[in-house]
Amino acid sequence: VNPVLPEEALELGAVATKAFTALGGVDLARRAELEPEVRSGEVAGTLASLGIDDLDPREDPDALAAAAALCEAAGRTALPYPLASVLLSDGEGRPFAPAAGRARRVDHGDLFPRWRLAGADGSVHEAGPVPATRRLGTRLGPFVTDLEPLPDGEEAADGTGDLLHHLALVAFGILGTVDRAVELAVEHVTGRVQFGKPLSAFQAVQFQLADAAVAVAGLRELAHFTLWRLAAAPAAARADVLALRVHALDVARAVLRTTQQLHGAAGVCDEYDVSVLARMVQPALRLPWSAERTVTELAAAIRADGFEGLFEHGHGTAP
Amino acid sequence: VHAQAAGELPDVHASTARIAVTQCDQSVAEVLFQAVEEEALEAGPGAPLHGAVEDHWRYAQAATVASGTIEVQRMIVSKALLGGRS
Repeated sequence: VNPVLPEEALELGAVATKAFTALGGVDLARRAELEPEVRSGEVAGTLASLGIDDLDPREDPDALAAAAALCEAAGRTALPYPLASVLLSDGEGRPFAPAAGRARRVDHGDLFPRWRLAGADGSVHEAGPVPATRRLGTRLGPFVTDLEPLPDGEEAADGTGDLLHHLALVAFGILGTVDRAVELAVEHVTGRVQFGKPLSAFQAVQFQLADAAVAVAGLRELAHFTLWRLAAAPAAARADVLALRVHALDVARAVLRTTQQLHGAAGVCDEYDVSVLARMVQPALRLPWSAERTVTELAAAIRADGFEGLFEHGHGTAP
Repeated sequence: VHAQAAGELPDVHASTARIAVTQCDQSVAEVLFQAVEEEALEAGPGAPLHGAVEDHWRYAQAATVASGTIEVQRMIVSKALLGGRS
């Protein structure tokens, strides 16, 4: 297991971060709420120039690492685009998304006419926005759209591989968001003076920052391990990917709470990036499964496949 | 509440209550979000409990900041516990 991404993936991530920052960084997400068309315009154009059309994360470990680095960069600026879904498009340009609930609820579902959606059993069907389809347009799901099955849609048996890749790439997006949130908190507490000294001089603040940083570092380790598992043993990686999602949701809840708290009232004001990051990541935290539901899925996966770790447990282990 | 009505509420009790209640507020908000699953992303009259779940969750995020941050409440409680010995 390599605890850091390969050099080429890291370089792509750095180039992508620069490109997303040049587009306005988190301001782009703010703009997209008012002008949703920037997603298919400037954002899609920039992603094309980064070469995402030629990048297939299912191809080999290097491609998977490059896709993960891109998703992490996107998470750092709350890039308003369904990047993981588009990276997992098929040969006909149909993006992929898991849609476990009744509503076939997909972030940025309005952007493409035909999607490949995986149900809870892994079976895939085609769906898309119908003329009456509207984005939710809410504070926590501005671009979330409920899709409808297409009457002439194709069906496929097994989307498990794409499902696992999607969950892993979304976890890298969450990683980018929480990593950036900690940086923003550090900037805020070193600049803001209270009781005659910067907030960062208070040990209570320092301890919270340390806990948040440790949580992000731990998530990064697990994300890289899971990426390696997914590339090395895709058929056995279901429990690993679900465990990554469980941990990512746990870390996101704690780190966003801490970093918003350290911003004080500014933490819930959209003039501050941390507030926008915390809002825009919500679809990733709630779709296709909430934390509780993901734990249930993980338990089922462990019962079915076992869960390889340092000690024997799970499938085939005597009680 | 009785103590406050009688004007006899020490700061430490008020802060103790506030720490407990604001953290409870945030925990309950997240439990409700887990319960409604993907409908957590909805808002307004058509959302679960007419939007109260989503509204509560967003409002709860500020509970540990508004009316004195939880850090300041902790300072008040710990000062009372230590009785000037810190």
